[in-house]
Amino acid sequence: MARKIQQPTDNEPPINRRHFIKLSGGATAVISLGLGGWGVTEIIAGKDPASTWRKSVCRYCGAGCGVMLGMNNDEVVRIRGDQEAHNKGVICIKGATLAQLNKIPNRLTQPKIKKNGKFVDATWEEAMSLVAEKFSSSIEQNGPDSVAYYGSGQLYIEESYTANKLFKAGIGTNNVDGNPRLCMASAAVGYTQTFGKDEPPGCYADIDHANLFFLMGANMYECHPPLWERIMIRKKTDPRVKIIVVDPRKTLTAQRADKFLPVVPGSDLLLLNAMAYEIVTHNLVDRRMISDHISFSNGKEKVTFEEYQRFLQDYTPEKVADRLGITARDIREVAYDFATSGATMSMWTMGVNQRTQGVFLNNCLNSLHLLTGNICRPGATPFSLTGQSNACGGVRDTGSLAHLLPNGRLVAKAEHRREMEDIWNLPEGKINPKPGYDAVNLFRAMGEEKVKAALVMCTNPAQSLPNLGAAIEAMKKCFLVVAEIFEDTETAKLADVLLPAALWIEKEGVYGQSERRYQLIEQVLDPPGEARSDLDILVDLAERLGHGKLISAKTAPEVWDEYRKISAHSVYNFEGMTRQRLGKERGILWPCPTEDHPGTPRRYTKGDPFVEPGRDIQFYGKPDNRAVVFLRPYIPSDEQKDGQFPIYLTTGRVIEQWHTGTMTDKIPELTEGSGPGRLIMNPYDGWRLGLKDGDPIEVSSKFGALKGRVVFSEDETIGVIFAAFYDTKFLVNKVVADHYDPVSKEPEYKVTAVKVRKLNPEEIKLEPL
Amino acid sequence: MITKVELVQFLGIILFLTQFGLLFWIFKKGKDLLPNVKRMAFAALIVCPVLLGLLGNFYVFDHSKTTQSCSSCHVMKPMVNDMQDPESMTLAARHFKNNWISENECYSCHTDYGLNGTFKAKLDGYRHLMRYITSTYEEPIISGHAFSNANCNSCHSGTESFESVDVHQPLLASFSSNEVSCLNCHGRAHPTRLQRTPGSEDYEKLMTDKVADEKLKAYLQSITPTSETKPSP
Repeated sequence: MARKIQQPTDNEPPINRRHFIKLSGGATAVISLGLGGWGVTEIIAGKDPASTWRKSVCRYCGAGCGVMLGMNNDEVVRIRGDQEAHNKGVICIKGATLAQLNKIPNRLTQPKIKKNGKFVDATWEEAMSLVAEKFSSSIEQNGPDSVAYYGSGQLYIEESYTANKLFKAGIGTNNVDGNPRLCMASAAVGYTQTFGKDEPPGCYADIDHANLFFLMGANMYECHPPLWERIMIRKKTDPRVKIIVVDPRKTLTAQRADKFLPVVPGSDLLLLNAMAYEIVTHNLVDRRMISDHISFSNGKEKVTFEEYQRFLQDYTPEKVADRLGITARDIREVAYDFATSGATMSMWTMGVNQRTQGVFLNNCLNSLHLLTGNICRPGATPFSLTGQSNACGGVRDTGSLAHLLPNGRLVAKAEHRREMEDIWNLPEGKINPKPGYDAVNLFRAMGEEKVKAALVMCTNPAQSLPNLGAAIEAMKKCFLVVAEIFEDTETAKLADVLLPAALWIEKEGVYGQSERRYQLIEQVLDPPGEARSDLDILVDLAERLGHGKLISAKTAPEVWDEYRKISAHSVYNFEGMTRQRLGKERGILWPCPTEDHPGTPRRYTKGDPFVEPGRDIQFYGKPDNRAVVFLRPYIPSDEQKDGQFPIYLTTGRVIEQWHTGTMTDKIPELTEGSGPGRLIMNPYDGWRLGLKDGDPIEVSSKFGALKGRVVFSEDETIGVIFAAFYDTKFLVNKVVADHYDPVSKEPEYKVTAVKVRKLNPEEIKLEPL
Repeated sequence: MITKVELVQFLGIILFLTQFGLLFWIFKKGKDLLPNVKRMAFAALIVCPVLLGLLGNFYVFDHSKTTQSCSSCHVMKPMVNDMQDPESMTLAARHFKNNWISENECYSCHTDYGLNGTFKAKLDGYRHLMRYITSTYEEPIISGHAFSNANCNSCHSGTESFESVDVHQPLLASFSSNEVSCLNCHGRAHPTRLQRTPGSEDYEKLMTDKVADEKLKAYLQSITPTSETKPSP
């Protein structure tokens, strides 16, 4: 039986006290449960492994990506690409493993002096007084040109600037050079000849607007992965975007191109001239650009457009196709695409720069952009990529090369020397008018004992120089002071004094990457042991050599302020980039003359503070405001394959390793990815030479020999053998020729004629791949 | 054509009305409940609410997968509007534009929030809801934890495009532990914090709804011949 439901009687109120208490109790319980539950979810919410995030810049390549450092108790625990930086959060495998960089064990933590062939621990005082004594006595006995500084595109701007000032203005020698000579000297000279000023006219953001990418001698997929990703993003945003790759090898970049031109190593100037022939002959030129903004020159004097047309008659597609190893139709297609895409962006790097015709190639690439009007517009620009993180800002812009003075000035020009003497408060005539030794000749001079003491900072020439065997012998004859992070690098082994250096975020300074963007790296860690920043070492050396008054700026912010103000005397003007601004902003592109100036993404056009109001385009680097299209003939390299040396060796990088592997070779994920160094050739060449995949071989040139394992790949062009240079047990630069471009003095790493010999297994012990 | 969600919605409304009717009837005739009415009371008080609850839950879970549901919360508008912007180059916009994901775009890359997600993700959803209704949040919203690579793997793992990239191989362990994020190399997924900060240069554009539709409309108008542009016969 159902129980009758009790009904409230008429005389009871609808809600009595008991009901009210019950109801409010219930409501409170429900609300508490809700809020309590919320509280619990707040407590157990996913926590970031890093407690704070700080902005910084990647240590490695010239892309100069912004990174975020995830910090926990003064330790870097996570790395992310910086979403707010120019790279839009994209970094690469090397950058992704940066959290491990400062934790690599066995860092050099104490100065060492070599005694009887062995390194002995020393104090800073002992080491630096020995260095000062050796430098002073050499200067006294043999003159200032008997000492030298060999720097790096990886030092901070403040460090390179100080070294340059100390040696050129203090010691009085122009023997200041560095590894950027080996990677972008040709690009720097190329821009200077064409536009009157160094550094690219465009910027990375042009990638987002280009319709055609013309990539020559650049393996961007492996060497500048975040920039390559940006190209792919552009292509995925608009599938009509086209990529053309010119490279002797079917690189990972070439494999993803819409059109790939596998040219014979050393021949590509023929292609650029043939493209110019097509463009000029079929009237694909920008007439207004030619009449208003361009002049023509044969390198000695101005010539007419008609003379340029006549010069190009030797480079018709039919005349050059065979030597290039491609078809005339390919050349015509590429020329047509280049001129008509609407916005063409060329990018190139070592395949163009590391050549005996490096400067000419750079001239010709710039010329194609000028002739077709693909310049000074979004997406249309010639753009040379830099290999090192601070080769542009640190070395090219500060003038830390043997022939340069700060901000585009030349040692050889009297008025430029006078300007710098004024700025640096030097007596007239203090700066030596003779350019110093460029990289190749600097090490030759060590061998000839003309340079008796040298300071090497932040670079590894005993692995990276061409004709390496001779360079190593030369270094042994010189009193070598090496500032390094590890004791086991090839150069450290040759040092007489070894100085422990701070690495990356263990010191503070500014990096300037490929697009003229200056970015601040703040110190977040202490250097290990007694290691010091390279700036501290240079300031100490200056004191000891009696130049303490000249090197009056002794900390990174002080040097920055001095240099920033000096820049105002040039068209590099970045006076507006105060330390405070760089601390807040994600880098700024110069020129940036005032603190409220946003920076200059595109030069020589509206928005550039040096372009006169009312002008669309002004190449103000030239007195007549006209950029120069040069008539540059093809001159074959000294390295030509013949009966004795029938194959071309070319060198390069792999995605996982950076430069000579000093840092990346000690990070497990990266070494696992790259494996040991090896020689890669097409199976057809292997078959012709009677080799099997994996055989031990010896590759030799007129300069030296290297033993290693051969690996077959159909991505290598027939007649070309490739090796990367990161592996210390596989010093391929021993084989590489040290011919160099006559103007830029940049050596030709990309073309060496070699022969191959199969080894018996007992001649070499091979590491497993 | 009625969708699954609409069907559930419809059934839910029918059930609710039925329950309401039954309850009203019981209330009216409550004094003399007959035994056979008990079953109806059971249905009204137990079966219908349970079914309703289940359907409601299913509906909420299913509806919360839709992009519409995400964009109903204004802090999510910049993400959704940017995704639908044909000119945007963010990872989300590229997925949308190239039709790599054809529906439930947000949910497809954030699976750890939905029906198949973990219990913790549900709790997180509750936390977000509480923050939202109590206005205890600040713009731009910032994710408190890293995006899980598992979301990317659910589609990309094992594909040709993933496997053919040699450089993925040494990082597989770091991907599983989320120490290295897929986004490290493949870029910005959504507008950045600065862009999403009220008052920033891009904020207004990002908060404007249906960027895609308006652009599309403008484009369609531009290519549709009007009386002025139509060639005369």
